[in-house]
Amino acid sequence: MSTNLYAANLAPLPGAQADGGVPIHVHDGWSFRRAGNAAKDVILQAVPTAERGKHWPARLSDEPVMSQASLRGHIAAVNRSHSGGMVLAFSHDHYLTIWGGVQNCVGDEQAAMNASGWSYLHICPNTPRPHLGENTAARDTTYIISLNGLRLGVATLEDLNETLAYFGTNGLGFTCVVHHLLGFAPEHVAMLWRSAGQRGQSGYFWTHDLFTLCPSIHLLRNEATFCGAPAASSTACRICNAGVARRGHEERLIAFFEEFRPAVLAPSETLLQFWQKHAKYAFSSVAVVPPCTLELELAPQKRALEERPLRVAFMGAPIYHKGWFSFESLARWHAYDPRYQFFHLGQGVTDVPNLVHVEAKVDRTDRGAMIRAARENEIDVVVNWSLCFESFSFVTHEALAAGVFVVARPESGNIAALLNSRYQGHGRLVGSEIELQASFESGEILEWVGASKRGYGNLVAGRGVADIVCAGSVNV
Amino acid sequence: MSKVCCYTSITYSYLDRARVLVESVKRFHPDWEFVLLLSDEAPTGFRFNPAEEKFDRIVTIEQLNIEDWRRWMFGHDIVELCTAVKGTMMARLLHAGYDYVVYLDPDTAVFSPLDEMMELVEHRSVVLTPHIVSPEATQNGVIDNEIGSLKHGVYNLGFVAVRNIASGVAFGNWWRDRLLAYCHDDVPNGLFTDQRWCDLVPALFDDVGVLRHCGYNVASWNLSGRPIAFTPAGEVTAGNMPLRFFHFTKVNTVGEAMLERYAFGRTEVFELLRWYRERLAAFRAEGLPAGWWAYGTYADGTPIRKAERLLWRVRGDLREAFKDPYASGQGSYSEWYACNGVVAD
Repeated sequence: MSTNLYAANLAPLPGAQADGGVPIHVHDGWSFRRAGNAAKDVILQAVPTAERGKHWPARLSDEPVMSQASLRGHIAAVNRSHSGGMVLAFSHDHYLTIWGGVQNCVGDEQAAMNASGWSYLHICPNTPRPHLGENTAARDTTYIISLNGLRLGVATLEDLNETLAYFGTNGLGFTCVVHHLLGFAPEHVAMLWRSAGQRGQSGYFWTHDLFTLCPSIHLLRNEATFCGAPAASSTACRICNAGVARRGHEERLIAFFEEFRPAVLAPSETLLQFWQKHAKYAFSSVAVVPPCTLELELAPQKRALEERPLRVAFMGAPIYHKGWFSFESLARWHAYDPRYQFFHLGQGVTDVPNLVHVEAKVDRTDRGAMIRAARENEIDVVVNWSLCFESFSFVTHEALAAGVFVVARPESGNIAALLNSRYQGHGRLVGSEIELQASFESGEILEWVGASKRGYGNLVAGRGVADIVCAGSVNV
Repeated sequence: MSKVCCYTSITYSYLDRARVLVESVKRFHPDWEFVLLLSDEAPTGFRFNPAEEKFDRIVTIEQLNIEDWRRWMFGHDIVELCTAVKGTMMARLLHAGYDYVVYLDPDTAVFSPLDEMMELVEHRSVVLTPHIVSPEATQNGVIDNEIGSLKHGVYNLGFVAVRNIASGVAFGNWWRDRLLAYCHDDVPNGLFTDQRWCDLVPALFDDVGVLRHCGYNVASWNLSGRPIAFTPAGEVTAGNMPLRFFHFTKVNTVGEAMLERYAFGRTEVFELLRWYRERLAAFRAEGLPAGWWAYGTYADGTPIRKAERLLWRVRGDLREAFKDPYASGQGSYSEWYACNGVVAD
């Protein structure tokens, strides 16, 4: 899932803007060779997460903190119109102003809970960090608070905690939901859960990605390679930029899970199985809650591939761990190959010759932007060469909804799971980058796409915890 | 329990490397004693407190009892000197009664227990690791690594282990004597510090063991035959064998380029390099002037050039005439060389 605020704060990749390649690729049939090695550059620039966090802003907002009375007033006001209770939702950034997969999931959940008669108090750190927050004094810790989709302002942990305790003892029922703990001290969240009376009841803990297992949210060892979550005592963790922090990270989360034993929610069965295999945490139950569902039309979209070049796209942010460099190599290799035309759907300007850039920004106001861009440009193939173990993959769902054939790695987590099961025939898993390049050079990709099952569909937004909370149970 | 002593040899400029090494050795062999051999003196104001270090003992070149050690030392550049003292230290440690003595270069780091080495040395006198253990498959590999081994020595002397038996002690004494006299970087004349000497070791001494395990002494020169990888359990392998220790020869861009040349597109080795650079930064010798070596200059601070050392080394009359080669000013070797020496470097 996307964590765009965090991606935006990563150090820029060397050569990501400039060409960085040796120009022997300019005629079709010649392999593109990058002068540098993108993975090597990523590795050698990887620094411990704590070190990276030092360069993040001390505070997102310097506005004066709101008074406890003001906070109480806001909550009291919505209580009168929302009789179901109040959701306390925690996520790493401000979902109302930052767009991405987790943020959309929070927004959908808020809307669904509001529609079910619940109010929704969202809390995110005012001091964002690419790791767990420090266990600072309550009066020195501030959050950005939003209520039912409206930003209220900044409050201290001390005031928020006393406010929750006040309403808890006065009959307001809380349901606590953690979407992401980046930037939060679990000890602080535990304090709030206690004050909200969550102890003894099952709160909810989302695993949108693998941050619960390691500060490296995608488990990319040294920012480059999916590690598979070996033991924190392993050599791999010892030499990883996130490894030093991992033990303390795990210990803090073990304490949190042990105290609250939350219901664990995952966006896919793939992620849930991985999490259950590798997490050491206590929990009460588990459930798969997809952030959206794909309703595919049965009628396949047949296009006359022989009448024009195959349209090959990269969808999303052109960053290393989402597989941009593998796509870029293909696009440069075949930049003048009449069989192919290459597109980038998303944001961020690149300088790849003959690459068509289509601005596509998925946000709260335009959730279908990527699907629309793919359909309007009649994209045939998306090279979704993500190096992550994808927990859900909105890109894959958007591509499938746009009738686009998906090419991905067998180790791509939920992408591979989708293409191996429900969406067999809608894409192809390719074993290595060399095989990927060979499929384009030989033209085999044209045969795969020609024989594929593809059709337009719709993505239906999920409702987060709404159905579970309102039904009062979790499927174990 | 057998007493094992591990040592390395440095000047202060490699203190960061030695600190990484001792940390890595102690992680897997906490019962080993680790001795630091230091051929240097601390600059004024530089704070070095042995009590705060992880080394069990620090021995200085002065303490090695090398005859006329300052004048002898003058005939060596920094690499030659740090290598030349290895033999004397080995012999001393064997005489001191350790059951096994292991030398590791300061720019190595241990990644897992050196069990195969210990098993081998328990039945041998000396254990050496060859630079390469399989034929090279490329022309670059032949030139860099096979011909390189012929020039610089079959065995990499970033590692040697010796058992305290008669043949092991004999090796230690022989190595000491040869290095005191001929530890020179003089490839055209068949010498490359301590390494070419050790080509003779299997012929000269009984029960010498050659450790061909791919996980030992992995470096750019043998990476082509033993690529670095990670297992699902998070252990590091070299050529499908557990990585025991890696030799980070040159961590600058030159070393990086050599790793890249023999990584053939794989990137795992750079994860080791990233980690190593991070540890070096953590163990940086705070306050040490860049390029510091107390014996690298004359008394007035003028750097001693290699040619000045070479001439001193080969001319007995100069050694006889100038009692303190490090002196500067009137009547010094430095002044004599300025007037009479050939500028050769």
